[in-house]
Amino acid sequence: MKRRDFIKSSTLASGAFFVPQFIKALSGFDIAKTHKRLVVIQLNGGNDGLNTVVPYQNDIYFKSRKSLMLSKQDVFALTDELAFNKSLKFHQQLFQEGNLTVINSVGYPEPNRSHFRSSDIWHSGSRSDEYWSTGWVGRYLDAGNLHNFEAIEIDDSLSLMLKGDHVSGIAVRDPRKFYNIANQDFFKDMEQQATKHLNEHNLGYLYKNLINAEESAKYVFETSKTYDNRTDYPNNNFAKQLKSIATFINSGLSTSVYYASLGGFDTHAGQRQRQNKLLFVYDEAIKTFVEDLKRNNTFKNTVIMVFSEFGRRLSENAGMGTDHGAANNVFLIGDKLKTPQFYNSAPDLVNLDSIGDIVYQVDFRSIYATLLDDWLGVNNRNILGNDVKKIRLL
Amino acid sequence: MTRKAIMKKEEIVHLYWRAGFGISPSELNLKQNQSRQEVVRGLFELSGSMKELGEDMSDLQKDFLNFRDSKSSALRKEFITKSKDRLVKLNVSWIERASATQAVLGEKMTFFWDNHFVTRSENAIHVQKYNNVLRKYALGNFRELVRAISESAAMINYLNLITNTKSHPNENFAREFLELFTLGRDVLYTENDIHEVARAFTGYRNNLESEFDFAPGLHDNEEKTVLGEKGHFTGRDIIDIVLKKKECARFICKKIFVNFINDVIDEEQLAEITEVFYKNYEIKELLEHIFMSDWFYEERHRGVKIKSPVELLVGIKRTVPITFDNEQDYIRLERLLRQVIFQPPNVAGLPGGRNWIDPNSLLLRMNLATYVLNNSTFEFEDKGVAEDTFEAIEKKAKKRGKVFGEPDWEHFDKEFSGYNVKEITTLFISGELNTANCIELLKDKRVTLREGCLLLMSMPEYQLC
Repeated sequence: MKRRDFIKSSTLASGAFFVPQFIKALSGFDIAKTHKRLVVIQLNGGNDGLNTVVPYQNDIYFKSRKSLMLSKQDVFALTDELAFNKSLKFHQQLFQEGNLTVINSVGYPEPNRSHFRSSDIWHSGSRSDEYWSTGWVGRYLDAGNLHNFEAIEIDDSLSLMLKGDHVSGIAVRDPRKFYNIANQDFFKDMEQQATKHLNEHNLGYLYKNLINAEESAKYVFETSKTYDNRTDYPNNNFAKQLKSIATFINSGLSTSVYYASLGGFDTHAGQRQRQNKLLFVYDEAIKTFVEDLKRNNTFKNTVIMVFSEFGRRLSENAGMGTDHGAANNVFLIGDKLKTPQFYNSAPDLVNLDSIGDIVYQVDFRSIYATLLDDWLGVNNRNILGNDVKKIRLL
Repeated sequence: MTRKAIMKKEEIVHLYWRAGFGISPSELNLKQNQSRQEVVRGLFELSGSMKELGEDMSDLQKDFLNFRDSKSSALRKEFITKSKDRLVKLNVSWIERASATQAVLGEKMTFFWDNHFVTRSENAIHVQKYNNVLRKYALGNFRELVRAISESAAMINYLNLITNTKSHPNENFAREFLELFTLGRDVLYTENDIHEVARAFTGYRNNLESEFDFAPGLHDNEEKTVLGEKGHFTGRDIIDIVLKKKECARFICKKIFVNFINDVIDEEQLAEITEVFYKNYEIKELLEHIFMSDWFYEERHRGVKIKSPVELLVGIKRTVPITFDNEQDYIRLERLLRQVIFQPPNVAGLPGGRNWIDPNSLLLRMNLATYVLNNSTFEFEDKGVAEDTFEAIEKKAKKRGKVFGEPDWEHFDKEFSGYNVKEITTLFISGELNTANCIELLKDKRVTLREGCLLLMSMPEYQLC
């Protein structure tokens, strides 16, 4: 392509591409009440699913967890097989109200036990022997040719999950700061003159990203500031992320996917206290978040998916902790769940894999497929490939 | 022929961005009145023998042997902690080496092979040895390079050759060897070839000194069939069999094309360099051919490649030298920019090119120069790692800010004395500067040379080379 190719009719550059979104958002049209949203939460480090949803009557569990086992007085019983860790008080309520689905034994074939690799597999939606450089949410943006701000990670830099081939999501921790960075006069001047470069191979790609950054920052900042979130959230980083998401949702931002994460779950030693605290932080933040959405009548159009890159080994280690495992539970929280409470039976602690880890029963990609098809209303085949089967969740 | 003619300034700049990390006025000065052949020869001469990276590891080796002897988990932990610390130092020393060395082509190729023959290890002894293998063969013979990497402790452990034995073959290395290192996914080989290649590489081990230690008793000596050939093959035989296939030369040349020429492949030019490489797999001859070709300097190949984070950072550091006070700041920056040295995301390496760019990373990259050189507060914090505790993450969320270091602007002033702002542009931007207002600003007499430098480094065009 020649450097001097002028493409003046580019809709992207003229701004027409995103104007309808602004009009909708600023004219008081209540997107919040009609638009479906997905909030993805990662428990970073590999949450021990067996001490989260506890097989509190299972002898194998007791034998394998001599120091870490949670018995009747440490849990909220859900069925005669499974119970919640006592830190998950609000989740017990969600469970009883039918607003929570627990999917047990979620994973994938040939599980990888490295944090970064398994996390990449979950983020990309690849098989464990494939190396993809885009994420499933990024490809959702690609497939619909959506604007970057349709997927937001609450952080300073973008994770693989939101990276697409042509369109990537954006990372926003603080809308004002992001706006200030993207809208420096120097950058804005460049953007205004960028029209002529948009058709050039990589330079055009850079200018498009620059324009998109500026427009996304502007849209997120100007829309979210119309809503003053007075809800008191707990004072930690994770709760703050959820507060940002609630503010974005309740302000009428058209974003359909959000991503937040809570770290610290890599409990190789001294697990009991550490995990209980983390689950408490998690539960308390989710409670505040869900109640915030409910008050604003936006919970009914929101689904929360909670995952971890892997579960942990059934047998505890010598340091009163657990090592990296395989299949784990996934939570779905929402108002429109078709299979509330338990989607499937308790994890099989008898037939473990050769390393001693839980074998997956549900492929994580089938949860993605369901969320894409039955919640976000797009065809998952364009995003996940041809061979992923949906399951009954939504 | 242009070969005897004096090489044009913009061609020298283009060559130096691709073969190195840009060019300084004093370097450029030395090249004036030189022919292309002389300039190219000069590049190779400066990378003639690559200095080893890293320092004496005997103390760490002692810790390693201690824990191996005792099998104590406490000693193991101590070793890993020290080793990780050494990896940070090794990381910093590579960035610093690339930022100061004259052997730029050798460094560039070492980065290239590091992202091709990918390994990852917590053992700094393995990592340092491996890096020095890549250095040694970076511009040498590809066959010898493949042999050397397959016989390195880092690779033997990373792709499980250590557990690949006659009775229990492990196919991990064999699969990646064919798919990622030599032929490309599903090119020529079948699942059965993978199985047979794995058998040929049985018995590959390393000793406690991290040296190759072939174990004949674990090697499968029976006959194998690989890509149609039958024999009692060893690993080295397999390398020879695979390199006989022109597809192997093509696979490597394609990656070279994307990394050194253009991510839009010109099939004719790719075929041309494949023929050159296939003759004897001499890496130097391949690169020499590319750098001597008229087509390498065509406008369509100039200023179109998206710099990797390392290229970006090193390019800035070579213009205005700066070392950061805190070693962890190197890691923070690399994490934010998503290229952490010695921590590749997976065996396939980093995809590069447009994959570096999204709205956030672009803003970060365009702010990078002012961030590190102009002492500006930065509003981005890195994500940390999965092993971080809740408390560590909370603490970090509260302290985002600056990286500290003293930029050596005097060095910059000295290098560029006699230049005007507009003239720096030709050295900084390979290709054309497109934004009219920036050009206007650069013409403005009130803009100092230093400001002009920061201005140019903040342009989208500076992201390309």
